[in-house]
Amino acid sequence: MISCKRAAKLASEEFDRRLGFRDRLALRLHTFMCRNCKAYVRQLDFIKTACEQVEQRLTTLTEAQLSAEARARIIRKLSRRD
Amino acid sequence: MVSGTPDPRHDNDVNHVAARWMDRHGNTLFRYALARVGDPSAAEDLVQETLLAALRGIAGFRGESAERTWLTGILRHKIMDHFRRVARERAIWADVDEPPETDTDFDAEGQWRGDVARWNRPEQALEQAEFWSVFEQCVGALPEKLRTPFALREVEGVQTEVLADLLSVSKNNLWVMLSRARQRLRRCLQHHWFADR
Repeated sequence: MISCKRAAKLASEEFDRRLGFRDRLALRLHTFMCRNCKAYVRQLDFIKTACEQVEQRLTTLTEAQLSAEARARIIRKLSRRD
Repeated sequence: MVSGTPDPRHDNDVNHVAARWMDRHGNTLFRYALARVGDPSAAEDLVQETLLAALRGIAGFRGESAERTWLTGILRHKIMDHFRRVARERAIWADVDEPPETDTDFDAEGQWRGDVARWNRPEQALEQAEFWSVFEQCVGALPEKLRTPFALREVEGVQTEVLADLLSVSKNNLWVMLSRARQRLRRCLQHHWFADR
């Protein structure tokens, strides 16, 4: 059986690439038998879900505004474009 | 095209278009950029580059997407270019062979040092403003080397191949960075949120 460390790495990589058959099988077998890694996989899933919501929240969270100077500078630049 | 919105293709007065874009979308674009690049002056430059590109490409605006969506799409490309530039200039992702960090989670045999606590109804956390502030702090606490790839991958949804190319790292190294980022983020959320619940 693969180590927990290896399982954790594969669980992460599964978000970023298609695992080969052997890796996938090894990961499934491991998480089936190991409750720590099972919990870890669930937590990664949760983090994924949270990140998907961050995208929408990012722009609304900050109340930063363009300064008047920046605004004027950009408009000046735009009207002088070539 | 949303009815009532003037079509910039038929607007001859460039200054007018520029001023209108700034009024309507300036702050939104600025916040969008700032939230991603973290530096106000870089964010201002990105807004400027975006609007310049938009003016040049006005003919390509087919009016099938709302103006803001169109501008945001351009800004996204500019943000990717920004990170490509950062990757090239600062080479923070270049030293791939750094010694592996001492692993807080696993022992020498690769077993968990302690039990991984189950998170109690994590989906409820998503409804709480307090959780989001912890989440943001935990992401912010990641070292830049891990934070940028993680945010581009997970928040912006950039494909792995594209991201590896953008940061000039091998896919293998990118997977390692992303795995480390997730590992740290999980640990941080465990300590600062789920441990008390």
